[in-house]
Amino acid sequence: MTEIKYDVIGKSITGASHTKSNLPNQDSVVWFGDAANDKHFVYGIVSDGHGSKKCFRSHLGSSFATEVLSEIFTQLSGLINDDSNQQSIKDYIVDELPTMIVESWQEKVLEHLESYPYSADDLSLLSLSKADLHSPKFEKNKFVPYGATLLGVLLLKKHVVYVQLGDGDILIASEEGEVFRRLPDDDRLLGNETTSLCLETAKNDFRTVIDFIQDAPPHFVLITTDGFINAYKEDIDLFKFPSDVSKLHREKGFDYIKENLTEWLEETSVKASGDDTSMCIIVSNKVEVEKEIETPKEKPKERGNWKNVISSGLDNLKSIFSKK
Amino acid sequence: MTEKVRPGGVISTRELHFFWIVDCSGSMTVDGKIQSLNNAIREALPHMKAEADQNPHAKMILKAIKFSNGATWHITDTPLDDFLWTDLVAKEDELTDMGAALSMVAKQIKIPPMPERGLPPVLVLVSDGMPSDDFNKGFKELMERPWAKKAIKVSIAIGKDAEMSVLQKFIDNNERKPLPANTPEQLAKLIKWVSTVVVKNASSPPTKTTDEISNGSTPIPEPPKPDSDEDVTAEDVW
Repeated sequence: MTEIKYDVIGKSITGASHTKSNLPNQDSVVWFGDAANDKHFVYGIVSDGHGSKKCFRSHLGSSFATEVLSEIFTQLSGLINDDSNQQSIKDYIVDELPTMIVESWQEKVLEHLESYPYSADDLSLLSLSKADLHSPKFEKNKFVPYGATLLGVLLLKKHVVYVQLGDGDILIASEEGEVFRRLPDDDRLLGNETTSLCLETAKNDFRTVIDFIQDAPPHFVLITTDGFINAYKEDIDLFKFPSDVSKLHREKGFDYIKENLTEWLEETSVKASGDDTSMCIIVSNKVEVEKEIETPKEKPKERGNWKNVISSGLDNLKSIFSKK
Repeated sequence: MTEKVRPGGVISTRELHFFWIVDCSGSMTVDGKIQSLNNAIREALPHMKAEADQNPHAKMILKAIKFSNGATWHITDTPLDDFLWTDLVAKEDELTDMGAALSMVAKQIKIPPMPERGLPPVLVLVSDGMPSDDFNKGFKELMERPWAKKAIKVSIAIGKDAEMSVLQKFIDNNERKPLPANTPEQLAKLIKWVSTVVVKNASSPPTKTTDEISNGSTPIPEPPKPDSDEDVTAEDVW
């Protein structure tokens, strides 16, 4: 009996210009693959912290973003199944999921802020002072230092969920090598401008889509931050990357991709963009059933109030998704 | 042994397009203004190149449009490393078709020929007078381009007869003002600042969220303050 098996890999490298300036990597990446049990879910998530003077904790913001979305994806995978009501799921993904992501991320930021409040120097970077704490201006800007983008793809047995806030790219390649974007463009994202989790408009700035798999899932999914795509002047050159890597996967196997991915990302940073670069690659293969369990990336320990935001938000979904 | 080939197409550093938009009307022939401008741009070039060398991840492409009776190319797209300034010439009795110049810039700042994933362009408008054509038409055409809204726009007013209101409108940013250059030295200082400080900011801009850019363009550091005019005689001032 053949089943779909996924190869999943994620990598994040510090940009060449950041290495030169002794700046930390502002990106984060999380990935998970499990084809061994009935759930059959895999995901890849990347996030890019803004790194500007005002966004002095954005390396944390991006880490929180990937953690939050990975928790949401994990819980969603337990709620969505073959019998789920398609319209209810679609409505949730489009209308509710962004709110859950933003509110969970904000909760995580607030937990961190409670333990590590802003210093006077930190506040001055936001054009604020200690006297401004609890003012409307502070409330409006308190998330800015953690600002980050967020991109993720969740593959289930019969569903694929795409999520994007801000710059970066999600590219799909078919087995025939055709490459395309599943999500619509956001015209505002020109130059170095991006939408962000830290903005008041974040919930409305997301692009989310859910596809119902008819025959087979997307063959090759690439999720990347803008440090990679900015190395390519034209889409024709960018699109060649997923197409070529998909071919290499067929000819040389997934281990070849894993062994060389860091080098490819570093080359694009050194020779072109100079920026931090994070990428997830998910490849689907039709194979004979194998019992193989991949270990999820270890998540850091935290208090977990933010997880309650997710759980309570998802409590009602099981019944909603199963209504016909 | 087979050499490993990186997958994907051609990679390149991000392009930074820098536009000189320069007044060559009849009034620029007076008191050596056009020659002072030529000298200032030529002398600033090595400093611009030194600044650009600090950021190998941006590829600067320079161009210059001149306007008098109509607007024409002075220097088309040239990589900074190959860029040499040839003197602009102003002729007496020629007009100041600034609107036509902005229309030309509008055509150049479309995508394509501008890249979609480039750095915000830098537009530097230098003038000593009042537009003689439809400035608003040219400005409207320019600002319909997405890259024009994101561009760093600087205007330099040569002499006291420059029309400040149109130069302010060009900047499209209430927090900045046109930069006055009333002497050759002031002009040289401003040209050098644009060629170095502004270039530095433009070639490695931080990521900005969509609400940070309240006036549409990348913020830049404060320009140099004009020197005291104590040692400047009336003859030196434009």
